[in-house]
This record gives sequence, C-alpha cells and structure tokens, in this order.
Amino acid sequence: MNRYEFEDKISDYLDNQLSVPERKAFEDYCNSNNEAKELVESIRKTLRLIESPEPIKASSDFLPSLISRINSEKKNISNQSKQKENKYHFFGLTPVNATLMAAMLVCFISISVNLIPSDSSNFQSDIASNKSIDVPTNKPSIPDENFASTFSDTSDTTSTPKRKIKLNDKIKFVKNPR
Amino acid sequence: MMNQPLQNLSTQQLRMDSQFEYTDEELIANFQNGDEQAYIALVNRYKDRLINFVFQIVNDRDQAEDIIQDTMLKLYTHKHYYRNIAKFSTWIYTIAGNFAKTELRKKKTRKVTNNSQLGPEDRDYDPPSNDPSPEKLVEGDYISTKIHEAIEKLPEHFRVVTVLRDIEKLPYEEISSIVEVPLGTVKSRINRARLQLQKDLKDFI
Repeated sequence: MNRYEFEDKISDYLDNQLSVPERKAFEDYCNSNNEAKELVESIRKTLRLIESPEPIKASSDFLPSLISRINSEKKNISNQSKQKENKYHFFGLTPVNATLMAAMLVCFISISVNLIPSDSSNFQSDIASNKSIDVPTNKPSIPDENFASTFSDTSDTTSTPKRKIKLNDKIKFVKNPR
Repeated sequence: MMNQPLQNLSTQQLRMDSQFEYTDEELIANFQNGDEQAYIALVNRYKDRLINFVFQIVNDRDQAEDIIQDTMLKLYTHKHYYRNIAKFSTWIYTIAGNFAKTELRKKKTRKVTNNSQLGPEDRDYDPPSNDPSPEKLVEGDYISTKIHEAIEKLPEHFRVVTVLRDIEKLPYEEISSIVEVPLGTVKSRINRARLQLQKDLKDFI
C-alpha cells in the first residue's frame, strides 16, 4: 500500500467499510509508518470534536409560527382558487356550460326561423315562373254559365270554390328598351 | 384526535403525538390521506435534525430555522409529491439541502454585489473583525465557532456530505440518494473533507 491508497482508505477504515484483508493491509501500513498512524488518530479525534457541540434545537415558537404560516397559505390557496373560478366564468357559467348554452340558443333561433311560414316567398317564385296560383276567395262566387254543371258534379260542394287566375293575362313584363 | 384540524391542537397534544411509534413512511402515508396529526408528528421528529443540518451549511441559526420552516411548509403543500420508493428522510433532507444551497448562492451573490458596489473611499474601510467577542471567548463557544468556521470553509459539495455523514450520521447510501451522486464519489468527498477538517482543526484536538 502506498501513501495515496492509504489516504483514500482512511474514511473507509474509520467507518468499518473495509474488508478483512484490506483492513489488515491498512493497519500494517499504519504500524510501519508513524506519521500515517498519527494522521488516522488525528482524524478520529476531529470527528469526535465535530460531533461534540450541543446540537441546535428549534426555538419554542417554531411550531406555532409554522402552523400560522400553513393557515395563511391555506387562505391564499382558497382565495386564488376562487379568483381563478371567477376569472373563467361567463355570466356565472363555467366555460362548458356557457358553450352548451350558446349552442342551444343557436339551435333555438335556427328552428324558430324555419318555423315562420314562407308563403310570400313561394308566391313570388311562382310569379316568376308564370304558374297559375290558386287564390282562395272569401267572397261567394258569382254563378256563371257553368253554375248548373257545378251541381251536377259529384265533388264536395261545402268547400269554397277557387278561382283560377291566369297570370299571363294580367301581368306584363316591361322589356328593357335598350 | 388523529383527525383534528391543525389550529385546534395544543402543544401538549403535539408533544404526545410525536412520541407515537409510527415509521416515517407510515406517518407520511397517513398525512397524505388527510391526517394532519401525522404531519405534526413528522415535523416534531425532524425539525431539530434538519435545523442542525442546515445550520452547518448556512452558519446562521435564524436563517436555518427559516429554511426549515420553508421545508416543512413545502412538505405540507407538496405532500403528494412523495412516493413510497425512497425513504422519507432522504426526501426531506433533499428538500432542506436544496433550500440551503439556494440560500447559500443568494448569500454569495449579495456579497459579490456589495463588494463590487464599493466606492474608492469605501475600499479603505476596515470591516469589523470576525474574531469572537470577549463573551464568546468562553472555551466551548470558541471551539464551536472554530468548528463551524472550518466546516464553512469546505467547498459546498464537500460540506453537505460531511455534515450528513459526520453530524447527522446518515448511511453512505442515503447520502448518495440525497445529493444524487454515485456512492464512490460520496466516499471520496467525505474522505477529502475529513482530511481538510483535520488540517483546520488540529490546534483544538
């Protein structure tokens, strides 16, 4: 064993970490070298010296002050979570609920729009396509030459007779002079 | 009594509960399940040991106590971060050691800043001596001061492992886990730190 190997093994020797042959070699080196033996003894005493001072203890108000810090931390956490909740609320609704409500509102509006009767638009499209339109009349119809034949008909007479209007005769499209 | 809220616990009860023979791992498991009494028992079990450990690193009693308060607060707020794969003592020493190292770095930064901000006339100023006051020259106190000075002189990575081994008496394997370096490195650091301490303290042995 040389000097470097000896120095590397001092701690292991003092902590009983060496195997039996290693320990024997170490002790042999110490016995043959007085300086090495003194160094080992000196380190052993240094370790005892380091252990000797009275261990420091926590002050008497350590626990109460820790508990008060924990309580204030708890309050902070609950305040922060409340603020977070408020921050992410829309009109008192969570983001998920707000999205659902918005979707339901859109559906309601679109259904409502589709339920409005669209007769006027059909009428206009019929005009454009020159079709004849059945216009219900509230006035009783004036009997004409075909009146007798209506009675001979087997069709339902309780319903209001409808007039057929020929739109071709009444509406004239103005041509562009150009 | 085990589920009493924290603010209702009397000092007497706290002292009694710290005497229960639960293992650290059982206590932290109970605390994770909402038993705040288990937390108090852990604090009582570790507060002195940790203050002693941190004091050797920062060399300031009040600061050491503040650091351990922060450590215990972190234990309270981050209890679910502990997983039962390591020893509880390893975990809590790691937290305290990290806080202490951070504080040490802040201290160094403050020192550097203060020195660099000195004007030319300030440089002639003789700072107050660090020698112990007459009251502190009582032998025991004086030796304690010298021991702390010698430990403080060690490089940070030597100091932490030495304190954990020679003052806290932790096994090498646990120190290796706490400082997150291989076992061989821990042994080598402890050996070199001991040689350094022997040189610095040979007048007192």
